[in-house]
Amino acid sequence: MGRFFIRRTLEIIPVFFGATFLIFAMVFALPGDPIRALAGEKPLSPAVQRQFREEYNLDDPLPVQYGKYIAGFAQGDFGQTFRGEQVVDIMKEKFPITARLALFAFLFEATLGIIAGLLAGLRRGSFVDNLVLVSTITVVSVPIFVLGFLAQLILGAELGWFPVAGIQDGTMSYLLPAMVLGSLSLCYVARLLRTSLGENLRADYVRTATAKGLSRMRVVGRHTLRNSLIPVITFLAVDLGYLMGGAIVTESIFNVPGIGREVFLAIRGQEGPLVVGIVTAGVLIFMFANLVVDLLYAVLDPRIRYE
Amino acid sequence: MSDRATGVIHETRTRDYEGHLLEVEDLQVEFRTPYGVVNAVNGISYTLDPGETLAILGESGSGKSVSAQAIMGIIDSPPGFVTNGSIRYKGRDLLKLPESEKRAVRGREIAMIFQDALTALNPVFTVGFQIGEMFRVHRGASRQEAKQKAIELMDRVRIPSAKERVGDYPHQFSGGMRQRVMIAMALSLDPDILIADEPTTALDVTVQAQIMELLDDLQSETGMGLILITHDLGVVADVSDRLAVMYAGKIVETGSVYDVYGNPAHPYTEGLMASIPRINQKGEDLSPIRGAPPNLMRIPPGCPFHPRCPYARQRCTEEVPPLYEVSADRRSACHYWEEVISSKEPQRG
Amino acid sequence: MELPVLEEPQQESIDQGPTMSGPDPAGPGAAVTAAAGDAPLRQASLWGDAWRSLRKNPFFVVPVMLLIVYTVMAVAPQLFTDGDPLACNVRNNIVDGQLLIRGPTEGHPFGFDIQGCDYYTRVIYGARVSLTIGLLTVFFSSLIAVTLGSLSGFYGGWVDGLIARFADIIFAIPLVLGGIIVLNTMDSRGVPQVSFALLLFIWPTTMRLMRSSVLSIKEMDYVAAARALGGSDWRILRSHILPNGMAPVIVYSTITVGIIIAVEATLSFLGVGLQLPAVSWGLMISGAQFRILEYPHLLFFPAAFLVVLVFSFILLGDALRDALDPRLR
Repeated sequence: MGRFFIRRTLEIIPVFFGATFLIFAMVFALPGDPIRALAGEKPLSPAVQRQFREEYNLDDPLPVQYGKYIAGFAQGDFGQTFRGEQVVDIMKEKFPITARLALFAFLFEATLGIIAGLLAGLRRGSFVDNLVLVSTITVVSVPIFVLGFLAQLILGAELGWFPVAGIQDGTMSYLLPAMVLGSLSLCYVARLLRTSLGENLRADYVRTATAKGLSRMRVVGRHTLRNSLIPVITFLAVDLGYLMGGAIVTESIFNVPGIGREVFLAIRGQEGPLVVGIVTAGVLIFMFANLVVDLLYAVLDPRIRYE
Repeated sequence: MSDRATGVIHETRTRDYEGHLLEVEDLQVEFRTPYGVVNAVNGISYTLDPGETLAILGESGSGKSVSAQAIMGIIDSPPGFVTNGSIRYKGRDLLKLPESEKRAVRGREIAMIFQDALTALNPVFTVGFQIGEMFRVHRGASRQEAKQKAIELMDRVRIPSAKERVGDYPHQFSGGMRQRVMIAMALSLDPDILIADEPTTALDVTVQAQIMELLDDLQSETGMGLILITHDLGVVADVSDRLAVMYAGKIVETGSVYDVYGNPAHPYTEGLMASIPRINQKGEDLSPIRGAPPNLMRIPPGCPFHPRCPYARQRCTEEVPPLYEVSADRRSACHYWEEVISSKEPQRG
Repeated sequence: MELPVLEEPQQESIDQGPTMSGPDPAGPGAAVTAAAGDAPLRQASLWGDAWRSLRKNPFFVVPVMLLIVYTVMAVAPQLFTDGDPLACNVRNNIVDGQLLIRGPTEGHPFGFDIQGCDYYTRVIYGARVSLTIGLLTVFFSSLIAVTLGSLSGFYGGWVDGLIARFADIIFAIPLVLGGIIVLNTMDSRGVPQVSFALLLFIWPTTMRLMRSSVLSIKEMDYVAAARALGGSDWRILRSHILPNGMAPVIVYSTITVGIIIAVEATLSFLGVGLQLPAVSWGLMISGAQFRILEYPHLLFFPAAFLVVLVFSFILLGDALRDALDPRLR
């Protein structure tokens, strides 16, 4: 168990550096001069430009720039924006908002997804099963931004159940964006559980459980559900890391001042250090979620634990 | 071995029913698939008494496992349906019992072990939990008692250091040990009937013998009736009292193992015997049965074996042979069984 | 004392009742023919079986028909409308001297957009870029994925390690985020640029699928047999592994076309995808985004066309998966 954990941790280290370097390279090395973008219409004096270039190590070769950046990152120094704000301050302000949004989305997708998956998986071919199948495919087919507008239009503006945008109404204003953010994963959860229930219900050990004279309730609840939930739980754990990526679109539509909207604005404004800071943190969260998944797997499935 | 079994233990089992312990009569099972109806079991009848071992022999697709699953009531439905017949256990027709009573019979009175213990045991629970569950659910035992019982049972099926291994998971055991776990689980509530569905097929030859010996011993101790489903003639010969040979969902020959082996009364059985390699047959060719088993969606008319039968005549393609009485406890579903039984050398296919 | 003629086939046979319970048509059929060897009712070929069950499946037929309509729309939009998507006149929106955005009226079933273009014509013309980007991206990414996945699975060792790690790295970057970052560095963004940016980030999933399917096929006896007969690596890959390993890739790719179309619309909506004057549903919704609450038709029509197209691909992929690999259900 301990060895397994250490091995997995060691495995993700190169992936972490690879992914962050890739992002770093895309932001700093690709065409488009950040200094020029910063200056906008107003030309900067050569002296100021030089100062900037020095401060952001822009004249070093790329790997050196990256090395210096990561060294700072490890010490909690995420650098400054070109406007002189500390990246870490911005992240401290924005992250909690997205975390809250992601948490609501997570609760929404997990609860409804599992309920829908159970209903469908236990009654294959029934009306409910087909309803779940068709509605999940339908929701998956609607891009998040369209879904967001529809939710705003119908649940917000028409019915007036939720605030349309912004976060000035506290928890209430998080609900609609959270439902939109979680909708896609909800569908995956439902379908995943349906599939794995279907497979497990046909497994030999379920037949054994029936042959042991156990009640249907116990056969399903004890002998099938636990095994079937393994892929669902692991999906949910990875998804928690992924919700951040989804937050870009949702936060933009609902005007939620979280990390997703921030990173989008930063990319548009060529705020390199801010983009790299946020994305690096995001990759870190994603890796961590993956590590948690591996551990969860090991805890839930003894076959993996002892490999 | 049935002598030993019927000897002592039997008297301790109360007998409050008429007739046999188990009577299967004219059982029919079909699977309704999108490709058509698969006639898996087509009217089979047999009986089982306490302490007796009935071997059901047949190749895959002969319906032997399906008939056993019908007794346990664990055929997946749909697509599987029992369309006819009765299964009387101690005089009660299991097919007519409500689900709750069927459940009370399963595991407690009739237990079953399966071919592949690795897939038949739940991978995410310890073997101790899975054995102990029988006591927890059926007897309301506490967690501690259940664990204790599980250890006792593991001891009884001769799993070494049972106490240490009770918390292990199925995949941590060897194939033979896993099958012992299955047996321990099946025997936990002292059932009257044990159905063993190919219990040794997935095992090495040496382990096979150990498992069969264990089953044999346990049967002697408990006096249970044993239905042994197999395609392995060797397994049958060593432990069984009676034999039923199945082909295309039907029983084609029944009788004592001694009689059937000694002189088959059905061409299919004869073919089976002829295809076994024997030491004293050195140099002679093995004679496989020609042709292939029938498609269960299109079983040939008349005798289902006729397309592969060296004795077949016109009559065989038209008239379904009934089970002819060969002798007191011997039947054969062949119009020409007399010819078969009198042929010294098995006909070459 | 095992009987030669009575050898139990390893695969599922009719004897094991529960294994037949698959709701899939191919499973029991295959099991039955395996158990009952004489004159199989049908040739048990994967694609043949799949086709027989597909052509009767409404979840296959309906999306295929919809996709045919979309394809015609993309190739020859003139068949659907004789308008010009770029011929716009703000005066179309003036009603009784007031400047509005007119909804559906006679002759203009979808109404007008902010610039006074006929919305129906624009929506029809929008099919072209969506379909092009979807197919182009998935074609090239599948090409990369199948190549790398086959190499990775077939050769293993350091080749596998290198490719798998590289895929892991890409995998850690969300598609939309990666797309935004890459596209933001480009000054002019047309169909090729958007396709390129997306394919950079989507190949790893397909690669992994291909890799695992190659890994499992590699272990099959017929591959060992081919190798024992002296088949070259290339021959074994081409004639055994590729044809048998492609099914999951094709299923996944079909679904991915739908996802890519949705992502393209999202990026265009965010302003980092296609640029005007391209006629794209994402751009249409983007241009309308601040007026949607007042004029829902600006959202509704392009969104409906977009959703139905994505839906068709996903449904098609689902039907293909059910037909090709019943276990995945």
